Amino acid sequence: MGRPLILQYPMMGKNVNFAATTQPAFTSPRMNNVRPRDVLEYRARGGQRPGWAKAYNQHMGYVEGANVPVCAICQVTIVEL
Amino acid sequence: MALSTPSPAHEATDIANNTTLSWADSVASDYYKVFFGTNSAEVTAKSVNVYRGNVTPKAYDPRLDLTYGAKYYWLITAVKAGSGDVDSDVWEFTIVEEAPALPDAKKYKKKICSAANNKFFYDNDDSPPKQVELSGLTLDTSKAITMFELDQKVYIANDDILKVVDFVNTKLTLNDEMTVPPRRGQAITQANSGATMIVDYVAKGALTVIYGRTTSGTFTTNEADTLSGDTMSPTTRWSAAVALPTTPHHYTWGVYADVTGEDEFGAMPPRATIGDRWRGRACLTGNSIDPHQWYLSRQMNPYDMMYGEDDEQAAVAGTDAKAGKVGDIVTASIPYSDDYKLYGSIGDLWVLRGDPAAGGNLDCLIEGIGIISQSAWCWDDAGNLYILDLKGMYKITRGLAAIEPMTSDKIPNFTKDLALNPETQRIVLSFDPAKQGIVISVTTIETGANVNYFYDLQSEGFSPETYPVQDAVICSHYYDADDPEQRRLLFGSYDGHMRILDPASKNDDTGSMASPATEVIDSYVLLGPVMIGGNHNWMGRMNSLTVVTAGGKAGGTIPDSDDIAYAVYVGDDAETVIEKADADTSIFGGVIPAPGRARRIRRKARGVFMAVRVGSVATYVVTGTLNPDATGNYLYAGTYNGKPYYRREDGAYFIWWCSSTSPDYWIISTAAGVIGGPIAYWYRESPEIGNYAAAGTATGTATVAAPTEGKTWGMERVLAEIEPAGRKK
Repeated sequence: MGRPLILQYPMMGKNVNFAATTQPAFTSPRMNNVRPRDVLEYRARGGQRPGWAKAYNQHMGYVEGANVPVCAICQVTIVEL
Repeated sequence: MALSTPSPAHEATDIANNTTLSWADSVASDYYKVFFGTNSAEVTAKSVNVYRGNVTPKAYDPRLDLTYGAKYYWLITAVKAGSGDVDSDVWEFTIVEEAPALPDAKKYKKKICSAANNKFFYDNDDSPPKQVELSGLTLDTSKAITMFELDQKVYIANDDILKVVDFVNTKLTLNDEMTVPPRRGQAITQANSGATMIVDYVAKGALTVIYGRTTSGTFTTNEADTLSGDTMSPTTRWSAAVALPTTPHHYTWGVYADVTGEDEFGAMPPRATIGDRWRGRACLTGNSIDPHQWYLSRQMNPYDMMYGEDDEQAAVAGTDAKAGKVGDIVTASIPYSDDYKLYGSIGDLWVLRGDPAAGGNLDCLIEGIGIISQSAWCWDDAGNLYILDLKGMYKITRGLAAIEPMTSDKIPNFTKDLALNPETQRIVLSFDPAKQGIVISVTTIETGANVNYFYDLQSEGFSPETYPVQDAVICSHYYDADDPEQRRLLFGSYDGHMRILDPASKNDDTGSMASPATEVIDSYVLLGPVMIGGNHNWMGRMNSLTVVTAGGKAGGTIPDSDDIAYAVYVGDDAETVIEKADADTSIFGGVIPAPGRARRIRRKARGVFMAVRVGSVATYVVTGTLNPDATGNYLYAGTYNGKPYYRREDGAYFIWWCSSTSPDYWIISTAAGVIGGPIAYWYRESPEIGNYAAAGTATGTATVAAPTEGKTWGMERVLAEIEPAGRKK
């Protein structure tokens, strides 16, 4: 019967500042597209990042044969008289 | 018979508007005639106009809501056979005045605006809103651009294109040029219609157009309806066209027309790429001709750029103020309340304290740390500022109290890894209040290639992220909408859409409405490396592995994780384990069925160090008209010949890398390592996605593709059972 070794999610993110032998607790040298809080319940336990979704259906940067980026966003508040 | 005791009482006031009438009678009459109305004479005369019918009980319900504040009169006639009719007095009461309506808490609306493809877009009034193009406004989105709100308008700084999008004013186009325009903030009135407006803008050199807020009436286009007010002259002008702000107006951002004939309002900067508002002023900088300069308009008048006037609200520029210009090329302008305004440059950080028109100072806050580009900063909701410098990321605590390096103790090569180059990249820091984190995005403008991090404010950790090219971040804005559903961090995407990072999305949207497409998110994290041997000279053995995924048992109230892929790496030292993880040469791996606690994996691994990689399940889909039928979903199953290999869900077929052929091939066959002879298999050269040719007894072309169905996952913990395994030789 061996002893248990608990491997926790590295809540403190990526860390490549130390020797791999002494990897700091709650860090990892390798990760991608993960966040400390999962998208299922937003608990601090680790999981995949949220996915990209359209905020608007309209395609502002549509050009025939190519796309060009949305390069500025702002908001304006208007008084309704 | 005698009628008495009216209710409501005679001459009572403040009666509810749904009252009923009642009375008393000294005897039992057969029935009662009711006369009821607001006309006293008609009631007194028992006019048919106010006759409401006969009732038997001594009560009458008008069955309608009576008018607030109105006085009502009523008369009852008691009828009893053989006794003659008896009239009551004419009674009266007054209904209560209408209570004032509850205040409408919302008297405003918010709109999102965006710029792309040299065009300007804004929310229309649909629900949910749509982004619609503002016709006729041409920008140059190949140049740097910022947009900011001031006074119900959007001001645009786009190098030599300075524009205003006006959502509030009525535009009057006059029949002829004015000699003298009305002053800003003054009222003009239209004859006959009586319509009035508070003048907001008359452009210098364009005396045929007045923009103003209509305060009463409706402006007309009648020649007789002349305009007058304040200094406006002559007063024979009339509005040949009237345009309401139902569609926003747009015009060149210039200075206000002179009224006195003198140069009253100065001149706009010839170029600006950075704009914001601070202390009620429109602020511009980023003038490539004068890159150290900054410009602030007069307070609450973005059309007055007359610098150096002798009053504290006057416009002011670096050249004309005691504060002076910034000592380096300005890369970013950061307003914060009325207290200070920061100017970033590549190498330094400057702070403007107090109003520069009233003795404010511009000081170098710190030398050697700057802001790499105009969007490479953000605030959090506690008033801390985060900036990205060529040396790393820094946090400037609330009130400019301290500057703390954030990356040097975690990722020393942070900016080197990002390969920062503001000339070729769009670098954006975006604070997300909902997620309490910062998205750090570096996107190469030419290709959309991107490197990103998510910084979690609570754990103070950085997590790298990669996005499909279509989703690469070019700009962002946190929309604090009234509707909680619309309140979110918006990103301007590389492909011309506006997107969000949506917790409900298990994959990345990469398509358009015309051509929907998604891309599976490749996510993983390495747990470890950890020493399992006790010290560097002792081996350890992992006897089993238990992975608990989020969600408890399937179903229930807690959302379930999808399956998780895992792989186990061991080595004699920690860096070897990391290298094996990088190369994905695991000792074994597979897929954990989610959710909840999966069956314990009873496989052994031996080494001094160990790490476990968990992440999204890499699945391939094999299609084709194949004999034998090898179609289906293939799941990640670990490493074979130094590359990942995949097993069909029923375990009957595998996709694996064959390194013993020349050239080497990807193979689909019934077992990893088995090809040749009279068996069926398919093969192709790298990469593993694509068409495979049939070989052996197989027929048909097999196609291997990545799935489009997204998965997401969350983990509870991973538990390994380990024990000593002898001295390392």
